[in-house]
Amino acid sequence: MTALLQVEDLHVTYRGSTGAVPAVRGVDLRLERGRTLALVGESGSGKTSIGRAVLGLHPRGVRQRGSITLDGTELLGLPAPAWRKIRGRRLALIPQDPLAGLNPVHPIGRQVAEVLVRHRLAKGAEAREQAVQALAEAGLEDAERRYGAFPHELSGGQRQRVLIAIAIVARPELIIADEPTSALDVTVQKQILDRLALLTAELGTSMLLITHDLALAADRADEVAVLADGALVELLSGSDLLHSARTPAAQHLAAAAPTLDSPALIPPPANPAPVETVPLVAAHDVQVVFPGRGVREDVRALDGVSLAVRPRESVGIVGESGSGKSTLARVLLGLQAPTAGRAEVLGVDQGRRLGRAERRAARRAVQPVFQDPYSSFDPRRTIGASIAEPLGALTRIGRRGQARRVAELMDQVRLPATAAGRRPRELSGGQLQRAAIARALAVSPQLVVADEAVSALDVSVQAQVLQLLARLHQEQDLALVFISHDLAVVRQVSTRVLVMRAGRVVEQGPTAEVLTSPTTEYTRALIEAVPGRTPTGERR
Amino acid sequence: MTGTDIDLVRLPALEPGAADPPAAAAESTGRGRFSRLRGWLSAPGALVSAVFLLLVLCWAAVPGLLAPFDPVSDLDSAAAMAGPSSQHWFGTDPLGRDVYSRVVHGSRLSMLAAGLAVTISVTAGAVLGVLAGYVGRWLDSLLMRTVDVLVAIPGLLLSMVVVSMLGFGVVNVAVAVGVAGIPGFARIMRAETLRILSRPYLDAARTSGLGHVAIMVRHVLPNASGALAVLAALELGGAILAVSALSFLGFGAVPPTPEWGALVNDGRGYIASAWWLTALPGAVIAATVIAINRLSREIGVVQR
Repeated sequence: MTALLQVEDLHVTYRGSTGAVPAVRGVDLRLERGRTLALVGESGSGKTSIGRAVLGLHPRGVRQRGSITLDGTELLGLPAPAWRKIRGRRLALIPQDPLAGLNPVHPIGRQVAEVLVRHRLAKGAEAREQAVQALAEAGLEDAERRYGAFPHELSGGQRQRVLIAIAIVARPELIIADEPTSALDVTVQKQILDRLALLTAELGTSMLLITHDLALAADRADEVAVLADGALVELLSGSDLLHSARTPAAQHLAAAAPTLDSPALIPPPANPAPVETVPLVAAHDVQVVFPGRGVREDVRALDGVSLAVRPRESVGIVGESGSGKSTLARVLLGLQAPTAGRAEVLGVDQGRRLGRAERRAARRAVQPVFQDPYSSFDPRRTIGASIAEPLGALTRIGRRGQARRVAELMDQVRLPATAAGRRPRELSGGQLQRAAIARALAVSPQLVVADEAVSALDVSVQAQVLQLLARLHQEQDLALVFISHDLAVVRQVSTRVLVMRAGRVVEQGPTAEVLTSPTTEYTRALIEAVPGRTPTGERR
Repeated sequence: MTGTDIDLVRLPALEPGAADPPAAAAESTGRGRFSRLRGWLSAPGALVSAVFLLLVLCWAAVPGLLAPFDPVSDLDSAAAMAGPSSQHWFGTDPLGRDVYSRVVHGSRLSMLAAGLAVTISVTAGAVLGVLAGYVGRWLDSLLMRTVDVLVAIPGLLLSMVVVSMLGFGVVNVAVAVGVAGIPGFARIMRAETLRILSRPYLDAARTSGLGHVAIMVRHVLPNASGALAVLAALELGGAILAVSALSFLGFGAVPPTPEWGALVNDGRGYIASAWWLTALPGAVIAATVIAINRLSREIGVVQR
């Protein structure tokens, strides 16, 4: 039997300003009916380029060579009208961004029914009926009533379900899911992926799953194609991905992917600071309320949170979006004043009117590393100037001393010395995040607050940055507050963990304890939703 | 293409998060700048505009070298009111002065006045905009409502009111045009300030211990300068027009000093018998404004 999708010797080349840029270099793939094939790899590995080639979405300037056949029909070089008959009908896409994937001015139901109308499969009331059914199948509750809802009235998870409904409504043979859940919280991610698995099994649809998340691919795919630099590195079964990869490149990727089984980078402290030491930062019953405007209600971002971080500690804070973890980070960093309660740095209440010296002392004690490395550097300033900024503002070190200190810091975070003269756009995300850490360390703080500091990075880069933080924690007695939505990551670098939900701390304790025997239902659900939890078998 | 090439060049950000576009090496930025320049020159409209503007700037810089006659004292009464010829490219005026020479000499005053006007608009607008955006609350309301009121008055009318208050003269005309341009810059600057304030690097600057003034000077102003530059270039064209218009109305240069708007005004009485007195200086004004607008669009492209 011929495979449903067959990709042979596919080359995709972009035309860059400096010449041709090969994105895919000779990839062969086969996908049988009713199976799921995952494409995994880091940024620039070519996985999205393959997905776009299969969907015929590359613009004219992109050179494509090789062959892509869907059930024997050659897709490469197909004219636009022929493509329009195939897309949506036989091939469907589930895009990554649930907000950008929907048209904001049309009701969601119509966007689902449109597929049927376009392909003349149904119209009028019949199309509506089928659309409602597809929405229900995709797991959108109350589909009948929500038919006329607009995208902004739905949550991220609900929007993703609408996109799934759009993809499945015409009963396509192949669904291409490009990072279908990476914008979603883990618990929602699990529901969506469960639903997709159920649908593909019921309808006999094949799926091409494009993801950077190896654990997710291992959980959800029959077969996994590991890509690097535009070439196929290894093709293996999903269950083998994390533990039985043969090629070094795939092993490297698998080793870097954090799961709940991977070893902790920071061991529990041998001599924890006694409870009576003055905490580096402390929050006492902190509330933060963002006042609503007009008809919008107030948003209670933090609702009575208390936390104390002592010297040499490593505290993890986990929670889903909207749980208030980033607001807590901003309070600890002195970027957000509590509406009620107290925030203290080195025992000094930050709510009082502080003198210049006290203010500086607080800034010197606590430094941040933010999520998006690209936007946390001023695009107009060189990396060296950005790293030196806290030195200039918080210390009396002269120009020459600053340059020396910057060089020393860059060496510490293993950045090449030449990077000091570069601008942010000339560095990669991983390099920038190292620079962000160097900037945080410039004034020798006692605590670094890292807010989702590795979530924008590829797994291998993520692993390096985590190792760097762990090394600094141990070598320099640096305390860490590590905030992440990713339990597997938090587990690697924190010895104590707080679980947050809706502005409150719902559970806290030593990391190992909380993760192995959670006491609340919510924590248990969070842990269960983490992909790659069970190393072998037990999929679906 | 070998295996290592992919590391050197930046792929379009297709991957989710696009966390790791390989760093463009220093030499490739240099090349990028060069190719940008080449792309610029391949647009014929931009090239023609640039050449013409360069010519006007040369006129303004060294009028004595480029003008064949003295604009004021070379009175050739025998050839008065002559049409364009090989000797007098733009013809002569009723006193027998060479119109081309007067246009060349007049460019200095017109360009300087327009430059002064835009400088005033940019400086005052930027300061007000940054303050409104950064301080916010009552100051924002106060400044922006004042700006709203200014916007409600037509720019030229506002300039005329200011000139009437200050008295006639080219400098006063420039100040008046500059004041009329402030609201636009203040609004743009405020919007840019608000955009920049929400960027994470501002949080980083705050935790770095920078004070308010340092943040405004080091981070907000440089990052807003792109948008300001585009608007300033556009406004320069408008300012030339406004200065000329006010001079045409008699608020500006005192005869016999040559100035573009005044030149057009001088020829107004003879429009039926000597079209070149108004049409040719007018054409130069129009061409300059168009050239500047065309180039400001290029600045916008480069800024992106």
